[in-house]
Amino acid sequence: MKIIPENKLADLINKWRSDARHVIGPKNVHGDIVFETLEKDEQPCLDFLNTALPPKEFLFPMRETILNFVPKEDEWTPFTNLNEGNIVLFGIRACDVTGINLFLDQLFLSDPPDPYYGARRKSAAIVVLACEEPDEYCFCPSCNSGPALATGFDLQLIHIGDEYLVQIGSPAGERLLNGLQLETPSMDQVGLKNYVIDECRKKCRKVELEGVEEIIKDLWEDEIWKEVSNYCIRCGGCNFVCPTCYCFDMNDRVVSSGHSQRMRTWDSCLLRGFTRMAGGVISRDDKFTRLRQRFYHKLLFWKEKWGGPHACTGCGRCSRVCPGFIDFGEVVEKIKSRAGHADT
Amino acid sequence: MLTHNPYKPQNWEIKKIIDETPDVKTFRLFQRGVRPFIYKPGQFVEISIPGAGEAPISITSTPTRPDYLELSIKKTGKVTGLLHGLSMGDVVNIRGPYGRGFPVDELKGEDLLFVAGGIGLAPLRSVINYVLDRRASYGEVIVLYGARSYDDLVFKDDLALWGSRRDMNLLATVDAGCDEWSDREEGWCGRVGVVTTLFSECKMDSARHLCLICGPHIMIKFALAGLMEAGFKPSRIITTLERMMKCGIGKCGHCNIGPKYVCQDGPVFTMEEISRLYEAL
Amino acid sequence: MKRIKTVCPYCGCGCSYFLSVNDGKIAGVSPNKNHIISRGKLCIKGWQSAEFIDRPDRLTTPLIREGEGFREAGWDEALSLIADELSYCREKFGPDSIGIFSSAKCSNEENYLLQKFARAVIYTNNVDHCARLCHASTVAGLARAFGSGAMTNSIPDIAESDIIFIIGSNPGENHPLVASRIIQAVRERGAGIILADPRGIDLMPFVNVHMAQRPGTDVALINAMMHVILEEGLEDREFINSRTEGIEALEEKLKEYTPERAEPVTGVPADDIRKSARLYAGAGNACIIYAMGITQHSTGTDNVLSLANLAMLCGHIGKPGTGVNPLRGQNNVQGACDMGALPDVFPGYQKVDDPGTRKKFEEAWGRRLPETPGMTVIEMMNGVLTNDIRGMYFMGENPAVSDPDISHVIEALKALEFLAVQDIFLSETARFANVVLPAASYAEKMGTFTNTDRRVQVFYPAVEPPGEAKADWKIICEISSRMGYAMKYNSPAEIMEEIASLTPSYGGMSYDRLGPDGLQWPCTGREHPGTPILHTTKFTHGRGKFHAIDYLPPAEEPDEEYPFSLTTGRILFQFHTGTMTRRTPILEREYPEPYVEINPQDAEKLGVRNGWKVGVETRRGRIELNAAFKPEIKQGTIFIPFHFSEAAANRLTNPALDPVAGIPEYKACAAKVVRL
Repeated sequence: MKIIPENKLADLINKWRSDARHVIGPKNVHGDIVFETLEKDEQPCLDFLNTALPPKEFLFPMRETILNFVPKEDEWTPFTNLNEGNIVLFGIRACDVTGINLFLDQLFLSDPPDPYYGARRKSAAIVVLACEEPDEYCFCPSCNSGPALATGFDLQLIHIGDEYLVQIGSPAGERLLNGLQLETPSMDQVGLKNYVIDECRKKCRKVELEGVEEIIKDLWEDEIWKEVSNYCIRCGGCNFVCPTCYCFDMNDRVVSSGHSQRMRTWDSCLLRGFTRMAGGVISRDDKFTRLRQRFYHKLLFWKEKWGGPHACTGCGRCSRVCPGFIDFGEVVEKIKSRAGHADT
Repeated sequence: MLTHNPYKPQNWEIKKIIDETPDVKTFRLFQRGVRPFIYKPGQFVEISIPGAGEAPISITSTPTRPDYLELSIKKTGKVTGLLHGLSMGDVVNIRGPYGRGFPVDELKGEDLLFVAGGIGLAPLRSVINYVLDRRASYGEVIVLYGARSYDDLVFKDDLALWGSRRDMNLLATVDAGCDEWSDREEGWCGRVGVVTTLFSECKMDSARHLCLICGPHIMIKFALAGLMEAGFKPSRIITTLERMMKCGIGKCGHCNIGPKYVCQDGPVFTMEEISRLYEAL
Repeated sequence: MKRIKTVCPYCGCGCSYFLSVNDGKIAGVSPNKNHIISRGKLCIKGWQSAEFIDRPDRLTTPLIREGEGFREAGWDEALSLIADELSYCREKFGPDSIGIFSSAKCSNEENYLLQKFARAVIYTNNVDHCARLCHASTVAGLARAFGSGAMTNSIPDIAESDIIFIIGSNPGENHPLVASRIIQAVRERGAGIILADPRGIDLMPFVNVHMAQRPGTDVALINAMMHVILEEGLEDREFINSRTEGIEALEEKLKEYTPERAEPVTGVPADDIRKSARLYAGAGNACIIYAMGITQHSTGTDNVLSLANLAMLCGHIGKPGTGVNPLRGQNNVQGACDMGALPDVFPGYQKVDDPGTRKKFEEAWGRRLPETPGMTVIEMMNGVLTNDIRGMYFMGENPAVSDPDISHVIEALKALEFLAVQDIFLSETARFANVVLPAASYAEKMGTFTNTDRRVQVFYPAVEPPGEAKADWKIICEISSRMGYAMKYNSPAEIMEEIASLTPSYGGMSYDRLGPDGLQWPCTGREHPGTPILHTTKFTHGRGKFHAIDYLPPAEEPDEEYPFSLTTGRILFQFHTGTMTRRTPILEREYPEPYVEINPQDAEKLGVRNGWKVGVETRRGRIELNAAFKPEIKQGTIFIPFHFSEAAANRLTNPALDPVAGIPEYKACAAKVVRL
């Protein structure tokens, strides 16, 4: 553990940039905090409630060209020019890092590994900024994914007074601090760190997920899905903002005669076309079946397939983004209230 | 840097195109001098035309005849529509094979009952020819096949051949008969009615037969009901599930059903497995 | 990665979000948590609004017609050709032989410049745009009743309503972030919803009373509601006495409109009309939300006036959670109207036939200006076939799909001597042009859009335009300069300064003041905070005016030969003529094919099953498309989304016009359905 004064953070970021690293960090743009590239001399805004989009897009972009096709000897030959960057994801939150570590890594790096995600993931250093304040929807403590992490980061910063306590989580994290003379924290400072995290944890909402996978198993035919889906306006936002959602679509475009591209874009299981098959058959045509799929996937299917926790990091984004105010925590409560008296 | 990119397809050349029905063509494909293409009956590939997109298509040839790959493609959308416009010598993009195929090794020694409807014969043709090429390893072979009309019967050459073989039994039926159909003298053809009407004629035996079934949703529904009534155990009925497999490698989420991905865990499933999935059929 | 604040290019909600840009390329969309309308939420079109920007088939160079096709040309040649051709038309046939279509998709600054170009450079008032086809009747009707033809309240305060009366609007599909406020009102206040709609809407689960009126019978329905209110003494006498005039004539008129007499006309049970009237009149805060289902009728202005009557009768106006709230369909249709892209008014609805106003603009622009109002969109198209219009200039409009009776429109486009189109894609209309100019999309330029709640917001350039494409305002300046009238602006902000100096309601607008949430007009001076709610203490023109309105049937009613009443509209995943949405794979995948919604019982009588292909025919044309069963749609009514050029609903629609506003009757005509 090290201590870095607030006014030294700029040095750290400048150092990374001079090491030819691409630094992504939270910035204030027109009054909202978003992750952007920190260009030369730009400093991050570190006092913020979590961003609308999780930083998953730096590893798994919202849209990217995965293949280019050009004709060679009358054949279409695909090629890809994937550049490995050397990026620092600075100031990202514990819930979002959990999304990367436990869910996106699991999915994209399992056999066969996805080369696009893999290359970016390998080159990304993760610098967590522990939260000091939750908002009304945050429930990361219920998912063991915040306000700070125990492992799974390269560096983790916790704001204590005028300083940041820096935890080093990997050799790569060690290297991020190379060449900087940093003090070791005092016992009081470590105590303060624990206090800051505990205070934040206490303010978080509680959404108890344990055991919900057993209850939901019996609710496939329950009315709850129709009731909740009445509020769904089919925007797909809950998928796009979820740190654990990974679905994508692939589609082609003709650039010019002789050049085509295969793109991939984020997709949403809340959309009707998501299960459109050849010939127009749609296996989840009713809105409630799609909403049901989302909750079953988060609370049961992921766990059944991969083991581990429920596919939720408690970031609260799906509740915030929903134009119909469908709240993840409320739905979980509804599910639990059905325990023992399911229709089936 | 990149050792393997599973999204990157290979070029295959069209060697032959067979018009099966007004909207189904079989493409015989050949890959120039690259690694051998190893697959199992029941697996599928992603076929694409750059600029149009990819489509998941089950393999209809058998690995026992390794000189070529055959795909039977029904014209249903943009990609398949463009494929139908291609000619011999044209190049298509293919990646795969993907998925879990039919358990051809475990089927050894079993008496097999195949039930197919329409283009659903495509994946089963792969197993049937596999079994016929290794005839001694398998028990009785019965093939029941139904289509909407005579024109909609696919693989007419295979049907003629299968119908003439003594070591198997083929029965075919169409929903609506015609002269061409009823005038034929071979014993396997001439029937009119849905495929389930063949059940009583074929002397199927749930204690003995293992059933492989593939076809349109509505046909599977009725056939399954018939098979269950005849006492087939769900573990001895094998089918394939259709979903929009986009990536083929368990990432994109489109074919997710319960904890399974049809592209990796299927498309071949036993009815017992399917009954544990929430929304498969 | 950079994030550029923008305003959505689709509907009139005016959601803000960020476009993500990576290495000069569009990388996606990121919600804006602090924005007053979108609040970090978006609908699916908003989420997908980055997709069409970099489509490879964007127009990248000017095109000049050569035989059946086009050849690529340089800007200089294309602009000179346009200037020459328009000058020729003006000299030979007179300035009124030129027609100009402005655009509800372009910025305020661009609309301002184009109407200025029409008036000051060409010397014609023949400038109009697609607002003619959507809310012309709102502009006319609300201006008469209240003195201001716009949404009276703000989107955020819908959440403060106790009763929401939705008529001829489907916010869940067409204005999703308005639907969000409605759902909020339902959740937080237990608000009730009264729906008048022959089809049923996305928010059906929250509807308390559904009146499925026959298309085109709105006046009868609203009059009957008011009859009940007066009969039961539920009106707000104090409001009527202190704030309005003309109640006596209305009261007299309403006597005959009993719910029992309205029932056979509208098809709505008298009890439901009574129930709705009581709910609306009795609510603490009640707002009216309407859209094309009210305006796109040959009685569109009457429909709007009737809703104004209803609101004033109950005093449900001028307070949060109340008002008469037209939801505008295009992102800048409000702005295009505000900017005077209309044949009878200068910016700020200042009449062209008012000598004092004209003088003001003549002095500001340094040119003599035409005195008489010009032709509407529809009149111009008709004018082509009578040789009154010879040359046309379209900025981003696509009448070959969007206008009623498009066979007629296409005939006109072919007959034109000269047509120039600026657009981002080679639209169905651009294919008929002599010159096509490549324009920048919303992501490639700066400007302001005015959303449905009169909110003027700045959007910023995220990426460079493709190829040689240019912002529409720059193109207009160049043509104008070539025609001898120099337009020199360094930025849209400079154009806004000029707008503010000439438009009282925009008087206080300037780029430095348009913060994260913009400003709502009227905003008359530098210190004016903008106006979230209109008519709070008095109406714009003093007292609110009641109008006694008679019910008139639609121009074409179902008969034996054409037994169905056809209505048209939009769906959530497509937008208008599909130029943008049909190039967005995830949107196109939702509903890739045209379809006709039909009640299953009607379909059964025709022997048609769900998904079967049917023919739909009217006196103007015929299309073929799939039948889609919809139990909520009223029997005898069919609905077709108009996005699909391969089965264009507007081959069928009736170009009969509202006599006041000139809006065509898209929402009711007689049709037959045939089994194929």
